[in-house]
Amino acid sequence: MPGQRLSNTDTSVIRTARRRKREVIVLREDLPWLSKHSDRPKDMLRRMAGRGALIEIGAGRYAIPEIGQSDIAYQPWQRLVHARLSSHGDYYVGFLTALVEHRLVDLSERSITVAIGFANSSLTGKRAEIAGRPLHVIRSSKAIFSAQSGIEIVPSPSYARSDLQRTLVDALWAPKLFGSTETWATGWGRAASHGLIDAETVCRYAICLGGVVPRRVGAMLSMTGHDLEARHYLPSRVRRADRRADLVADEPSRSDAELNSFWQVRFNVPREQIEGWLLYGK
Amino acid sequence: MESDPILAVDVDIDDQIIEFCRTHPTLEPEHVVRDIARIVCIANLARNGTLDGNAVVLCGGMAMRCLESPRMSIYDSDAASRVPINPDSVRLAISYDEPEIVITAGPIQTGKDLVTFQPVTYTARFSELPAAQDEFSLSFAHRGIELPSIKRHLRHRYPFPLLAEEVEVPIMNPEEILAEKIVAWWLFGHAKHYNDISFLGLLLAATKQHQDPAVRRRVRGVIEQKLGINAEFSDQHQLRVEAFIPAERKRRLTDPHSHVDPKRNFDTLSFLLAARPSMTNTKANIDRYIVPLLFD
Repeated sequence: MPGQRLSNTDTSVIRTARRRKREVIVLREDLPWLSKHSDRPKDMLRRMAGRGALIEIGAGRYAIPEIGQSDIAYQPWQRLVHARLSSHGDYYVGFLTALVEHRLVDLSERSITVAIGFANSSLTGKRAEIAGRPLHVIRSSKAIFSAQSGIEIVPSPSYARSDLQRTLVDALWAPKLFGSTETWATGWGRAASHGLIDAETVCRYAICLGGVVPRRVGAMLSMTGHDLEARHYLPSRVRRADRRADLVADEPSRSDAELNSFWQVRFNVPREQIEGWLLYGK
Repeated sequence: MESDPILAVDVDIDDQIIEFCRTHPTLEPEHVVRDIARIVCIANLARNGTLDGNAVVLCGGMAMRCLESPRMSIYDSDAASRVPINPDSVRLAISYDEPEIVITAGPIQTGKDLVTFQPVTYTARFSELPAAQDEFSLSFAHRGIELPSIKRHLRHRYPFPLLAEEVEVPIMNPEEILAEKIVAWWLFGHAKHYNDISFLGLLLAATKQHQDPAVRRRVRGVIEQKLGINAEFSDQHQLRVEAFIPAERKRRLTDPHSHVDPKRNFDTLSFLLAARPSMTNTKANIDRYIVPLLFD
């Protein structure tokens, strides 16, 4: 990364952005005042990024670094993700990234996992990235981005993230965004052993996600000592589907899999393995 | 509080960290900053005598690093104690303040024979990177220490200056660490444990200790002790321990399924100074060194 070299115009652009309380310059939104500094604002911002005066985030967005901190590593990734996604529509950081953020697993992961509520091919492509980190995305048109469904706005740096209970539920909705069954099941185990599972809230969020998610949540709550609460808070209609559900959506179905007959959930990953990851608890 | 600072970092430490992470793609700068805070915490506990090598020893991922393991834990640190710790006095011992960093132990969470300080918060005054103010956890398991501890230099393994002087830390005996890892793999089946067993197998093989009858006898004995301790945790633990007939123990080592390899482009085990070991090599080390150690 080259050191910062700021021209007079660069300094003037950054001062204007700060006066306007812009943490991130968005070409489309800031075009009127950027045009006062250059006839070709798009090129001007690119050149500024090349000199280390701005940090390119993607899709016409540029973060403003502090003096001497032109490397993207100085920027909290949460701020860059919010800058990149929030103006498009609903989004939240979740899944493996949230599992790590909530300290439910002791792992690191460069990729950032998000759900978005809008169409954007540059984000859902195989090589999508934000802030230099690979992006794993799931798009959903369901009403799952609200505080009522467990999405919180984390302050400083501000960004949208699934809360702990919702992160647990998401594991049973989109496990492929958690890396492996071992990872999310271990997170459930730590939450259980630390007394962090709020069964009523987990059930409410599961019902928001719908489909077979409540049944899978019921099965997991049963395995973590919350069987009575699961039976109380999940209405019987969630078990009335004709077809049995696999516990782990992205693992192959197995006809010989053990069945939880109450929740009508098949252990397509052996129960013994899941119980081991849950039991670790640390 | 000791008067001499533990840290001695260069003024451009942030640039050094960023450059280091550029060549180690499983690491982010915030992991390194947090890791430095954990290293200072461990060094302080060794210096003030909390980690005394008799009642309390370092174990887990940080102890493995002192044995040159390339795998790096991210958030947790672990110690083992012979008797239950006094949380109030240990909280005081963890808290540390020097010009470059301040560390404060927060509340505890208690489990069966386990006390975890979470969060242990820190302010890394030397850094402007995002994790300069963050937290980690530190656990003390009082589940016995079966073998004499050994002392090792606290190996941070970063290529830039970090500690003002070398610090020796008492760590759990590697044979006992191996026994713990094997029991954890049998009971819980985590990829990290399988990786660590393979590494410890290599470590024994480097000095031919895997063929030493005394080593075999000790490791096997400690495994039985650890299984017994685990069986007392809960009925579920007991049932699992009782299911471990010799054939099942061997099968779990020789047929580890596939969950060591990262799936779907996620990359969740971090390696500080080495590439991720392949599943083939990991399993080969276990077949070659650990299986004979336990079953021949």
